Amino acid sequence: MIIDCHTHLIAFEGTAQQRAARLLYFADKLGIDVVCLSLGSSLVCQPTPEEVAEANDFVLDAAGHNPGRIIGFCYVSPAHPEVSLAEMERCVAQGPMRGLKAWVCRRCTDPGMDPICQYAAELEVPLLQHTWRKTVGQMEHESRPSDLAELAARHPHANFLMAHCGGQWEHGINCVPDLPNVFLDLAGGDPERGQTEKAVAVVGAERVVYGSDAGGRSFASQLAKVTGADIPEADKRLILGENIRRLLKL
Amino acid sequence: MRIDCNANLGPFPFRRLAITDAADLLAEMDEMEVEQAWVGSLESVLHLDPAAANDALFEALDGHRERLLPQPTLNLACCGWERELERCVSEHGARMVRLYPNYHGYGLDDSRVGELAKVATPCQVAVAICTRVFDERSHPPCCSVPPVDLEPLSELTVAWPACRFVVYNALIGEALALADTFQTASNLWLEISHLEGAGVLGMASEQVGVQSLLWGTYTPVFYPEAAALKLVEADLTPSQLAAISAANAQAVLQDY
Repeated sequence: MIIDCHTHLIAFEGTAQQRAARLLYFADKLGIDVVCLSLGSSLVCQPTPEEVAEANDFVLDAAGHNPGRIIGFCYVSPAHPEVSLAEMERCVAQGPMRGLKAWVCRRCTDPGMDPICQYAAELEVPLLQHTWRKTVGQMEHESRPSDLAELAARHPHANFLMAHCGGQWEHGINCVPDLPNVFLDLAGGDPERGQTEKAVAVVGAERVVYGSDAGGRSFASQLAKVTGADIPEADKRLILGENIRRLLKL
Repeated sequence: MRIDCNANLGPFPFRRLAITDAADLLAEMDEMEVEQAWVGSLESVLHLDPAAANDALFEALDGHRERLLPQPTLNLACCGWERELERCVSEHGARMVRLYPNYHGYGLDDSRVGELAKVATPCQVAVAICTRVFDERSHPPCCSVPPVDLEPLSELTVAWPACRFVVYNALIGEALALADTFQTASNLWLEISHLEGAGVLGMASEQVGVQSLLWGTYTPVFYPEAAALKLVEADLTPSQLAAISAANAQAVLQDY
């Protein structure tokens, strides 16, 4: 089974259901069984409480019409921790979502992340945290992989997915070898050869997960990071689905 | 049949790579069912005078020229590039050259690009323009190089209608900004290794034009499976698949 831990509907047009249909259409072409979906219809760097809820409603709509194919991740904002906790209650504790997603409204070292991580540990759901270290300059409040390492050390009972392997993946991977609660999400960068091999070598195949960042990225290019990697077939199976299935308790 | 228009050999300045010689590249091509590859020199990117790197490329491909076509590098900012072009063509039978304008310090609006087009045309040499070498966000701080501004290609393709240009390593947004030019210019092609988005080759076929697209892997910097799976992911007819996989590449070098 192939599970994509990192997709969005932003690159498509139409209703949540129409966009989900397009996303799954391309996923089907490459044999991807399940996608984890987060954020809403568009990217907003500083979402209001209403926009956070709207984004989650959009994902709930898409997932609700595709049971077994789409797993929702609840959008949380450390700028609005109380709202985020309420959304976690609504969408995860009382709803079908199985993970959390945080983007760039605050660096993930922000104190506003602490109640979110504590509740995530209680709910036993992972947090997919955007990270990207950039030579050309960060977005305002954009987290670096070292920020996630700091957050994960602060919350050893919560599990974290380091999105994009930190962007500069050599650096991101090297930030977390001693943090067993951090999993490396391969999604979103170019399919540079060596990324997956490095991730497996440093943290072990049990802590690496396949993600694409589709529809902005190709499922194809991101899947190739696993299928084309020079690693054992058993490791590929872990990365393509078994690890995230274990993490999401599917 | 597949022709990989974007294969590479030689040391990469920024990372050790799994494939460094022709034998390994050929083995990978067999595995990926690639019949022919156009091969550039990665080490030439940071050379002021790429002649020695070109020689290393020619030597590496020696004995394999039926499957591996060399794409030597020209640095138009280094005196003597005309002589190097002549040498690559007459001594080594090169049919294409690669440019790395932003690594070598000039833009596509530089008069030397037009001068190259003027002399490349009678030599029947296609000109490959590398938009980037890798993601700018991951460049070393000492070597932060922006992508090439491709906009002057609109004028270049008109000014030099008999010269054949290929854009390498461009993002989908950069390609779409030139969509009208790709649609109208019969002397301009787009290599696909850096195009991203779900089903991106279907979208590029519609907006850039299927006749413009060349299949390229950017091996060994990229996993070559990425380009192969893009063909599976996209909505393409059999004739479109054939065009992108090989026929368009053959057209670049045909009757030229």
